[in-house]
Amino acid sequence: MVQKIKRNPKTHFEKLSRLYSNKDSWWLAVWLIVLAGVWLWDSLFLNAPALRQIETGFVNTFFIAVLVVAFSLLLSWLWLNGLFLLESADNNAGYWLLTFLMNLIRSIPQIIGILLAYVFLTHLITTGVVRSSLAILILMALSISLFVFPELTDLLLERVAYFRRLDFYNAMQVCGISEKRIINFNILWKNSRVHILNKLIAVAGMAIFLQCSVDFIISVGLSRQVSSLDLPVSLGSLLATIDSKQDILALGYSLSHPGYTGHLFFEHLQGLSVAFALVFSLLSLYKIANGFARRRRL
Amino acid sequence: MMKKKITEHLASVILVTTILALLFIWLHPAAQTAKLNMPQQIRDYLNQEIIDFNNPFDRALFKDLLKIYQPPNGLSADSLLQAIDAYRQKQMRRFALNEQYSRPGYAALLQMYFRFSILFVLVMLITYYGVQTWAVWRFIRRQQGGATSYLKRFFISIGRRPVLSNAEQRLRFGTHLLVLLLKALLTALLYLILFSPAYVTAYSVKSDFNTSSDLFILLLGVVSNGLLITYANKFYTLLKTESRKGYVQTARVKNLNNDYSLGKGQSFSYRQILGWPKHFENHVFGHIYRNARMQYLATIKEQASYLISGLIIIEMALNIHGHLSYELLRQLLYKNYDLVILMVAGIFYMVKLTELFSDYLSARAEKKIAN
Repeated sequence: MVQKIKRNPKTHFEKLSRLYSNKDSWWLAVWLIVLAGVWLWDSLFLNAPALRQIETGFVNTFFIAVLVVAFSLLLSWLWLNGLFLLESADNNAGYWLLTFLMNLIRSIPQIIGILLAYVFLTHLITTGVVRSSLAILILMALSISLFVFPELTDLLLERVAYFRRLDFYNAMQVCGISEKRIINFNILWKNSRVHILNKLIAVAGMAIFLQCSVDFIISVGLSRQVSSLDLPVSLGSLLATIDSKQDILALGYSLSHPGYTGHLFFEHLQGLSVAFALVFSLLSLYKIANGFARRRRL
Repeated sequence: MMKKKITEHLASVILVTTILALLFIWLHPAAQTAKLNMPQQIRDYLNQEIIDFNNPFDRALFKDLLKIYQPPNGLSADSLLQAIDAYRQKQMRRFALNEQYSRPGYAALLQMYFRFSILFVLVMLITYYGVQTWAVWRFIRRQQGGATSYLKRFFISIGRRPVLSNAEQRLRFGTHLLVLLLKALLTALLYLILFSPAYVTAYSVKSDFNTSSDLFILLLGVVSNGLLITYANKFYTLLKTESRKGYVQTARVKNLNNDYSLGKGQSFSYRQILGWPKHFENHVFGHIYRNARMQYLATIKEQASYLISGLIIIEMALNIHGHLSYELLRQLLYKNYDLVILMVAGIFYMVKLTELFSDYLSARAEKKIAN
């Protein structure tokens, strides 16, 4: 006879507690589980066209965020190498110009910069220069990256400046290792990978926030359908539709009329799912970045 | 150092001003009107009051007359009529646009800019206070051994569950768990509100509040878009990093007050934490706080830029008429780019001024320490 082993429930809680102390893993798990839960609920109670819209909006938003992360990394790496190339070539004017340009980009509020870039993008779409959805998504991501990458560049510059002050840098140069290799391999890859990864998580959060805000603004801020000009659906533009706005208004209504709360989970799913996915993703990414920094003692 | 920074700021201001001024002149309606000026070839015909170009009879007559008396080296009758029609259409479009979307005067723009600046300064001050107060509160609570998250305490309580022999003990333990869970839920709700983009928060309370009032924008600017929580966390991290430094250990060894009890007659009073300016004399935390604040000053320009973005999002997304950012979006749509340039320039100067002020504060603090 097989004897059933009764597991001690305490061990489960201890495991959970251990997972909880690794904040980044915990928040990653919570984020994915909660979003999966929302999707499951929506697939049960939300009509199919609306669900498809949300799925597309979510995928587009995160696709752009991933592209922004990749572009920002590439831009900052190129910028950093450009700076050091100019520095080693004693090209002071070029070095100054590059630094000056960076400061200039930094002085333009991100939202204004992205909005102006979107105006240019809409011009390209209306004149037929850009047609495919993929190209539009890539250009949207590029517009956001242009105003986000200075933060990452600052981090890279800071790391390189820190290591240059140490003996390690001079020692490697004495060993005949080229400056380019020291910066790119020994400093950035071997000693700053974790810092960069942490910053990239934050950049992803910022990209989602900025993209959704601009999409929301151009869709709702103007009482005209400028957004319908073939920009791909995102969580921001979905939130700006009249149905979603009514759903969010219902949330406020339920605060003053608690009896209405039950209706939120069945009748106002479109707007609330989009708003929740957006807000919860922003919160989770922030927590993941913080937890990661704490675990790695950054 | 400060001189170098001032030079850099001035250079960028001069460069941007020059570019924007050139763009402004190029895009100004006067220049646009000049572009629309009647071409020489059609001027003489359009100024003839006896011809009504809307009247088909007049148009036919005009065409016949041209065929008979065609000017030497001039356009053919059809081309001339086409040129006249194209010019009149352009004029009509401009007229319609100007009628429908009146351009705000410069005085009105200046007023909006002033309003935006005041809002920005107020939100900045409140955030500056909020960030430090929250971080200091959290740091002191953490030093007391408290401030462990409710969810963690919930797990720990379950993990270390005592032996519950009777119903009363079980009830007490159950209530304790329930309270912890409720507190955790409330904290999560607070975090969600703090991380919500401004438009989500605003739309969810739109039916109960006047979301167009300046007070509401002010509140939203402080609590939404993750601004307060992000920078409070940054300041808290700075406090924590400072507290691990050698001079803090030395101060402890030298018996400087290191007790973090909070309350009346204790090391810290609520007034010290909530009040402004914050002073923590004769306590090791006074040094930690001062040094952390100095580092925080360097992040103010980043915070200001983030805050301006937040305010712009609020004003644009909530359709708040009569506010600078909404006007900016409107003029962008109506292609009044000269006005857009003016407003962007205004915002750029605001950011620059804040950057300059932040650099000045950092330089002053560094000088103080160096002395």
